Amino acid sequence: MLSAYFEIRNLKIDYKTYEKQQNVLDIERIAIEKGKTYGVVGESGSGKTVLALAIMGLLPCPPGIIKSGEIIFDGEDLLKKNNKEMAQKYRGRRIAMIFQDPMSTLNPVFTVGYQMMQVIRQHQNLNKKEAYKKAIEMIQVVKLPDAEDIMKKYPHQLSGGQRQRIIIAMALACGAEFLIADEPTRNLDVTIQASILKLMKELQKKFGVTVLFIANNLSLVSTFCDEIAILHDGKIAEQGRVKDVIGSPQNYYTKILINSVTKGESVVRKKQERDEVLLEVKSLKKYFPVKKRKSERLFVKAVDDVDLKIYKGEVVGIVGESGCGKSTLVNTILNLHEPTSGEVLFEGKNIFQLDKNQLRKTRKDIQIVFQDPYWSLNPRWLVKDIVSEPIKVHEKLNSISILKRVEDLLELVGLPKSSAFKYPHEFSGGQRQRIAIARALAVNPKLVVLDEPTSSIDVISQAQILELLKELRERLGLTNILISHDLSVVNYMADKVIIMYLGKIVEYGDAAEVFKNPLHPYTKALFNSIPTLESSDIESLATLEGNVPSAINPPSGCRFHTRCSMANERCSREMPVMKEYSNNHSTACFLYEQ
Amino acid sequence: MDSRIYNLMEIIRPRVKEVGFSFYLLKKNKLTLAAFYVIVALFVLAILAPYIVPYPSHISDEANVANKLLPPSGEYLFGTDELGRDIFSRVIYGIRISLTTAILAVGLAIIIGVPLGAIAGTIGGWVDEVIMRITDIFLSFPPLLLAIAIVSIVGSSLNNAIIAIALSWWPWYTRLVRGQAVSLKERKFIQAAEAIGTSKWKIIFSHVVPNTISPVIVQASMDMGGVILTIASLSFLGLGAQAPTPEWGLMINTSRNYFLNAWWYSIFPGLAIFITVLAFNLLGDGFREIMDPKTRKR
Amino acid sequence: MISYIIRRLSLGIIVLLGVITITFTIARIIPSDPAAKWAGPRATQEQIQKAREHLGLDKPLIVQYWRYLKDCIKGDLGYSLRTHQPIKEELKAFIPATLELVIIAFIFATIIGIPLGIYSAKMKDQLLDHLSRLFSIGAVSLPTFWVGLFLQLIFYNKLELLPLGGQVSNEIKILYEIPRVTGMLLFDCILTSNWVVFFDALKHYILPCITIALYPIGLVARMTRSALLEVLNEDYIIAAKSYGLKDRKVLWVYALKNTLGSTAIVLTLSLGYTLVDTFLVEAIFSWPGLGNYVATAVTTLDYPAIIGVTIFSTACYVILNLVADIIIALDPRVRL
Repeated sequence: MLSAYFEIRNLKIDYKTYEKQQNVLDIERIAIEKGKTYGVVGESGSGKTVLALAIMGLLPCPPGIIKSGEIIFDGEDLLKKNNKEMAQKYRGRRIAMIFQDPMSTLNPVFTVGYQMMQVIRQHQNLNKKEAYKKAIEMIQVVKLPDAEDIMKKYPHQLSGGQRQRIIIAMALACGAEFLIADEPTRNLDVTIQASILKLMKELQKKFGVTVLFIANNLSLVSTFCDEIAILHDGKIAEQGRVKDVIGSPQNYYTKILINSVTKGESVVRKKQERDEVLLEVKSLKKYFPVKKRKSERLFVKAVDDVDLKIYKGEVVGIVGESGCGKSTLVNTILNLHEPTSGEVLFEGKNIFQLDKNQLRKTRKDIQIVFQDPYWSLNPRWLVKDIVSEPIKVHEKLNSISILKRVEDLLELVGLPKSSAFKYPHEFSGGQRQRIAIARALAVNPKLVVLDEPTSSIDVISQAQILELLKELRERLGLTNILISHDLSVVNYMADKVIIMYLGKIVEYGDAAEVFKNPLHPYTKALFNSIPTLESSDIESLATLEGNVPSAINPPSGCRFHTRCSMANERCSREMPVMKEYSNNHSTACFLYEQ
Repeated sequence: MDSRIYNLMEIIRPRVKEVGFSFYLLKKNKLTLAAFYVIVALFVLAILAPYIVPYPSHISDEANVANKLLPPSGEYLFGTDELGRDIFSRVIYGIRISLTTAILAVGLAIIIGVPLGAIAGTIGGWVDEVIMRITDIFLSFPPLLLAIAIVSIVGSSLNNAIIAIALSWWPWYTRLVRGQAVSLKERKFIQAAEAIGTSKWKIIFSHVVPNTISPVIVQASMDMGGVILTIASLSFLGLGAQAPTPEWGLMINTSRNYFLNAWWYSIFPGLAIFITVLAFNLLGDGFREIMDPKTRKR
Repeated sequence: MISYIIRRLSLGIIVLLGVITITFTIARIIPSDPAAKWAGPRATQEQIQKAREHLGLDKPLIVQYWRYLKDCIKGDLGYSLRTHQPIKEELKAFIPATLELVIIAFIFATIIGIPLGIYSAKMKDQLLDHLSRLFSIGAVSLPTFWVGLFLQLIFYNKLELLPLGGQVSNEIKILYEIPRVTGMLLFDCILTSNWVVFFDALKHYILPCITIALYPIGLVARMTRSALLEVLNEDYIIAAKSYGLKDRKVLWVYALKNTLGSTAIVLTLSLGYTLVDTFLVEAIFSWPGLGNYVATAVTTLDYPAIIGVTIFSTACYVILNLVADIIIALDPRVRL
């Protein structure tokens, strides 16, 4: 049988574990034509990294066992090559890999230049000078300025986006023709992600590279690739041309995946009677001191002069990239640290001037559900102890009534009563998040902060958790603050949305309005940089130039002016103030002054 | 109460599974398993020592000069010492002494070290600074030297040796637990507890400390060997056990005067030290591997 | 970098002050009266009182502490209760012989322990790894003093190959002039090209050196192995392999530099162990060094001497740790 340029046939890989030998990958066929882009979509644990490592011949065996199959690359079966041959002829030279975490992929104790030159000289017969030149050239190819300067830097001195560019440069430095990208943008902000994707696409065309693109985000993969395969539990659920798979999904799992992305906006967006303010934040500042340099004292201005009001019964979404101050804002509201200045009024009382007893009471009224249910539950406690922790702190009940309450709470969040006597590790991610929600609800709080409640659980559970949150909100009349980087989640859940950039709120308003008609240039860039199932190709995504400036020394005037395409001289001089643009929709930008 | 029955099963089942998994890992590592059996055997011998040794009275300073320095024979398996006592009986009885002193010393070090480390790591700030500088000071003594200095001045006895060892050993636990506590703080359940309003002490002792148990157990099992060696060394210098205690280090010290004529006198206590320490070190190594989350991930 | 070194140095000074304070505390809780000991067993009450004044024990505790601190900083460690000599001078006489042993053991630990650890990690779970692990774990499980006796039993008593103890044979001592430049005998022999004494001394050095070096070799091999294995599991190692770098290069260039910090720490720790092991072993080999001095001090309850040795060794150890910290600081990840 004539094979494609790259082809996987009947690949079966097992993992040997304590209880049994388990099949982790069972792929019938993946075929990629030269120059094409093939995407594999799968959640964590679906076997996608195993696939990448198996192709590179770097799968650790044991515990991995390659049971059968062929990986054919340009007419040769890679599985039949020994380690030496792979190293000399294939790895780096013809097939290169881009790993998910750019920080841990670069060796921290060598300079970027040294590592690049090592790779270049391994494959090309160049002397030091020539290798140096080649490395500089590659750094320019990936569009990083000051190549000479970057060569001298250590990985930790670069930003995430810069590191990923270096890694792409290294992968391409020796003329690899086949590139495996394993979640190359996983830990990057969306605006950076868009620019990295664009770069990859551009270089793919320039160097005529074939790409196997692996990620957990369906929209991302479908935008980037020609063909896709949906990987679920090590097996391909569905594969084919992007249009076909997305347009008319056949498989049950694919449908859920697609649904999870296009959940659309909230149907029950009730008009709020806006009379009772639950929480008010007034010119809140939180500066963290950093190391003194000479006599000057420096601060990270994590939250800088933020005002907001949250009414009873509202769900307010806070959106922004990492470092925008959203977590600091929430931690301050939770009274986990003192603000530098400003006030947080909960039911009219400043929470930083409360005495011990009042503070305790406020703590009872404000609860939080964290992002990762694996990290937020004490692994050594039984579920009943976890859920009852707030009850024990705030109420005096005997153990029988506490247990009764716990069981009720568990039922409320859709878990069986018997869960009370299990440990967190016996549950799946989605179930753990339910436990976390039960804990947050245990003492009937008035405000529940949801910190990325769905971002680290699988897609199927995601949908269920969102459903549950929505239901609970209606049933208990909760007020929520929802932090998420996933705009579709915010769109689905929130009544109001706040956009933050570098410690400041740049836009604020009713969610429906903001999503339909974003005003601030940053909001627009943010919204448009996220690939959706509708985005036709990578080129259509918006990107932002440069890096997020340092919060220690933020730009003067409008903080966004350094990266804003609409900025003029005034923006760098003056700080725009929040102005209401239309009903319940405000922004801080000079473009909308009149 | 009817619905509580199933709860019991729910509690027991995962625990059994967990223990079974540990045993599975233990079995995979033959050397660790062997060490485990040796240690079990040592404990059994230690407990039964007074009943099974051939000459129980020989652990005192009872002299029987007619039989002094006899080579190993059927009657005296390991030969006799300068007072005609059965070395075999004394070596077996020595297990008891070494194990109890080592457990007491390690236990004392844990009792001092773990809470300090948990407090330093959880509270942070100047409390952390002060506690850690004090540990730094204790750790800047070369190993064993502080114990030697303390015992030689306070007075030589096994009890003082135990206290001295604990005093020079606790900082290791403080460091270990502090590191664990700091990384636990990153875990959100600590923040969640804070947000709930749980008090600092409750957080330290019911959230932080229980989560440091397995690294502490690993460390303790690895330290047992070192501590046994240290006790023997102190006794060898005359700083630990005093005659007629059948302590191995002390026996070797006494044997120095006779060792060119009576090789058995020093060889057997030394072998006993070696086997015991080796078994603990192997077990500690294996424990570290078994408890390592990387290994436990299935 | 310089500010980092200054910070570490000031921390080192704080630590040393702490060490002096702890030793002072220990010295003050002595149950017996040092003055009585100083004055001798048949001293009158008056003589003891005089001795007390001479030793400054009649002053308030805080004054004593201050004086003690000043003396320590000046390097004055007081007088031995046994010989009434300044401890500083006694240490000077005993240190070189011990230092020589420690240095030799350190060299062995480095040139045997590190490669052993590296190869063991490289050949993980293969025969060489198992053997090397068994050796290194065995080496750290052996009571050093017993090893010394055991070796004497075999090589002196049974095989009659090597001498029992001392640094040179008595005949050589009588017939030849023993060179004394630095006090380190082998080194002095080389300096003065005194080969007869050198080869005789070499024979005497074999057993003590093996005895002392065994523990640090095992320790260094074990720790090097585990540090290296940890690094080899890192993503950047897999990445380096994916770029097609040769395994050999990945190991010796990429991985090894990452273990530099932990190796520096282990080597320092092993030096600490070696130093203390000399206290146990020197008496067995009649070695004219610090260890023998300590052993005598311990049996004669010569507290000032014990405290003096403690302060001196700890000071050395603190300095060594400082050096290790500076080596670690070469790692760019450490924020200076």
